[in-house]
Amino acid sequence: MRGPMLEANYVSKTFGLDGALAARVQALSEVSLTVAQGEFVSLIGPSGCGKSTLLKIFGGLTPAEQGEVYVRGDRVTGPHPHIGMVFQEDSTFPWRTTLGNVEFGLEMRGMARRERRDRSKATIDLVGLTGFEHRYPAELSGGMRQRVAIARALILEPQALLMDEPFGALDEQTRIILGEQLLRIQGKLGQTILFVTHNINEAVQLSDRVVVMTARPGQIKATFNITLPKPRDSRIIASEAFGRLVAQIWTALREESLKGFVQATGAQVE
Amino acid sequence: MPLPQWIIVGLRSLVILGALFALELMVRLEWINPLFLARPTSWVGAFRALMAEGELPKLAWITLSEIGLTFLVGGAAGLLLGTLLYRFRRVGEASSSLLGAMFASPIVLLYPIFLVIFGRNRMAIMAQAMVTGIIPIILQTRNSFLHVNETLIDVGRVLNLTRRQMFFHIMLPAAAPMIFTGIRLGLIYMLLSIIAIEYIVGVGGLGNLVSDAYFRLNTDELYVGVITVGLLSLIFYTFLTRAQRWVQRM
Amino acid sequence: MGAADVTSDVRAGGGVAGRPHRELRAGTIQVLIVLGLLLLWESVSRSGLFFERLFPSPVAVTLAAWRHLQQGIVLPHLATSAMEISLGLLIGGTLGTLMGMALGSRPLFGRVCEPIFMYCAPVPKIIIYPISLWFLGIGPASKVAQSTLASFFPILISTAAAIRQVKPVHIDVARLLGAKGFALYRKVYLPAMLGHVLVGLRLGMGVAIISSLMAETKLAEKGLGFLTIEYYNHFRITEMYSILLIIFTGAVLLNWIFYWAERRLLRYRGSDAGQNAFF
Repeated sequence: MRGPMLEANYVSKTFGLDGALAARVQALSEVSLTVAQGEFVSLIGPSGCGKSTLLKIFGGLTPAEQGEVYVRGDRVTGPHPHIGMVFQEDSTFPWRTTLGNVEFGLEMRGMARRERRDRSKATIDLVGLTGFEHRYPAELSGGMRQRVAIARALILEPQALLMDEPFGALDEQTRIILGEQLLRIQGKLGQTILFVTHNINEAVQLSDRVVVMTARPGQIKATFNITLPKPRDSRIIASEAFGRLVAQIWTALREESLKGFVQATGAQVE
Repeated sequence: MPLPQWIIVGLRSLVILGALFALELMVRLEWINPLFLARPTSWVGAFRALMAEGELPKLAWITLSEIGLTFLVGGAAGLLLGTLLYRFRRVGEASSSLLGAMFASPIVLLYPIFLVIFGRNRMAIMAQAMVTGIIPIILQTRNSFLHVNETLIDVGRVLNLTRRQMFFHIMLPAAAPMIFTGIRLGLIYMLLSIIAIEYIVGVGGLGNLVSDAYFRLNTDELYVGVITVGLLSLIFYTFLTRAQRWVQRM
Repeated sequence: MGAADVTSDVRAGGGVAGRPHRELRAGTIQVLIVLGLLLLWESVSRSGLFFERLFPSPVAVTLAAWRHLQQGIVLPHLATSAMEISLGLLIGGTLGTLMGMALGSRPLFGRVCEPIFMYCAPVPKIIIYPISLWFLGIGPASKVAQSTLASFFPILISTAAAIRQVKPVHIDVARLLGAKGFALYRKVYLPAMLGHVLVGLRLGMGVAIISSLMAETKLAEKGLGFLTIEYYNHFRITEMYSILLIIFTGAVLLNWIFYWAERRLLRYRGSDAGQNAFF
C-alpha cells in the first residue's frame, strides 16, 4: 500500500507587499493536498497563486502561518533530509564545477572525498552530464545547468523532489527532452515528485495527477487524474485523449488565469 | 515591510544628532581633551565668527573657484581627448589601458613635481587636480562612445546622416548619460585632490584654513574648517548624484 | 553606488578586449607611447630648455632610485610606510567588513545608516589629519589612523553590496542540502561575495597607500612620503623623483598582484572576467 509522502492540512500564508504597510496579500488559503509515495503530481495555476509558496513550505524554507505540513508523517519545521528541491532560476553555485555542485550535499554530510567523487560521478552520469564534470556553470548551457541542479538534489537520494518550474526558463525542445529524462530517472529511483508548472502540456506529459489552483488567495480548484500509459512518447502526446485532457485543464484554468490577470494589472473588469 | 521614506530620514537624523550629542557629552565630561576636540556647540560660535569676518565665504570661494577652473579646463580637455581616443581606435585601445593603470596608481602623490614646476601656488594645485581628474573623464568618454547601441548607429546610416550629423544627433546624445558618470567621478577626484593639496601645501582656501588652525592651535577654527569641507563635499556629491539621475532619465 | 563602484566601472572600461593579435598590436603601441614619452623627457632635460635641476633626465632618476635601493637608504622608510599601510588596511578592512555586513544584512539599519557612510566616503579624509596628529602624535600611529579611515569606506560599501547580491536561491539550496552555521558562511556566503570583496580590498589598498604617504608628506619623521618631501625641501630634485619612482613602481606592482589574484580566484566566471586588465 502506498502511504502519503507529502501532506498539507489547511495551509494558509500571507505576505506584505512592498511599499505599503496595509496591503497584505493572502497567498494561500486553507490548502490541503496529499501526495502518495511514488506519485508525480503537478501544480498548475495562474501566476501569483502561491504554488511556489506551497513548495517552499513543503521544503521547510518558509513556515506556514496556519495549518501544518508533513513529510512521511514528520511535521515539517525546517529542511527535511528526505526532500530535494529544484528551482526555476539558475541555482547552481557559479564558483563550483559540475562535480563540486553535485557533491555539495555529501560534503555537508561530512562524507570522505573518495566516496563523494564516486557517487557524484554516478549521479552525473544519470543526468547525462558525463564529460562535463570539471566545467564551471558559466561554461554550460541553461539546460545543462538545470541538470546539474537536479543531480545535486538527486545525490542525497531524496524520497521526494519538489520542483518549482524547473524547466520554465528553457526552450521548448530542451524542456521536452529533460521531462522525458526526469520520468526515466523517476522510473528507476521511484521518488515522489511535486512539480509546479504553468505549462499544461508539460503537466499532462509528466504527471499522474494534475492539481489546478485558483487565483489569489490560492486554493485547490480541481484535480485531474492522468491515466495515460507511460512512457508518454510522441504517439501518446499526439493522441486524442491527451488533447482532451489538455482542453479540460485549460477550461478549469482559464477563468482563474483571467482573474489572476486582473489582479496583476489592476484592470477594472466586470 | 519597508517603512516610508520620511520615517527613515527621521531615524537617520536622530542617528546623526545622537552622535553629535555623544561628542558634546564626552568633551563636557572631559573624557576627551577639549583642547583637541571642540564641542559641537562651540563649532557654531566659531562658524558665526568666521562668517561675520567674511573669512569663511572668501576661503570657500577660493576653493570652489579652483575646482571650477580645473573642471572647465580638465573637463573640456578630457572630453576632447576621450573623443579622439574613440576616433583613433588603435591608439585608443593602447593608451586607455595605460591610463587605466595610471588611474589605479596614487597620482596625487606626484604633487611635489607640480610644486617644482609651478612653485608653491594655486596653479600647481589646479594642475595636479586636473591631471588626477581628467583620467576618468577621458576613459569614460571613450568607453561611452564604444558602447553606443549598434542599432542606433544603423538608424543613422539608413537615414544617410553626414559624419557631423551622426556625431551630434546620434553618438553624443546616446553616450551622454554614460559620459556623465565619468565627469562626476572626475569632479569628485578634482575636489579631493584640491582640498588635500591645499591642506598639505598650505596654499589657497579651506584646506589652508585647516592647516593654519592646526599650527595656531585654534581648535574651534580647525573644526569649522573640517566641517565646512565636509559640508561642501556633501553638497557637491548630492548635486552630482541628482544631476546624474536627471541626465540618465532621458 | 558611490565613488568606489564607479571607479571599478571606469577601470573596467580601460581594458584591452579582443583577439590576441589585436592585443599584441595594442601592446606594441603601448610600448611605443611609453618609450616616446621617456625619450621626449630625456631630450627636454638634455636640451637645457628648462633648468635641468627641475627636469632631471629619466636615466639620472632611475640611477638615483637604484642607488637608494642598493645602499639601503630607502629601506627603513619603506618599512615604516609598509607597516602603516598594512596596519591601516587591516584595521580599516576589518571594521569596514563588519559594518558592511551589518548594513547589508539588516535592511532597516542599511536604509537608515548606509547613506551616512555613502556621503562621508567622498569627503577628503586628509582634512582630519590635524586631529589625528593631536591625538596620536607625529609618529606612525597618526598615519595608521589615516589609512584606516581611508580604507574603511570603500571596503564597507563593497561588502554591503556584496552581501546584497548573494542570490537567495543559493542560500535556500544550501540549507536544503544540509548547510548550517559556519559551513553556510564558508561554503556559500564567502565564495558568493568574493568578487565584490576583492574589488573593495584593492580599492581600499589604493586609498590606504595614498592617505599614509600624503600624511607623511605633511608631517612625519619617517616613511617614503616624508623622504620625498625632505628631498623637495632641500631641493634635491633628482632624488625626489627617484623616491616617487620607487613609490609608483611599488604601487603598480601591488595593484597588479591584487589584480592577478582576483583573476585567479574568480576564474570560474568564464572568459568575460578577464576584460578589465590593464597592461
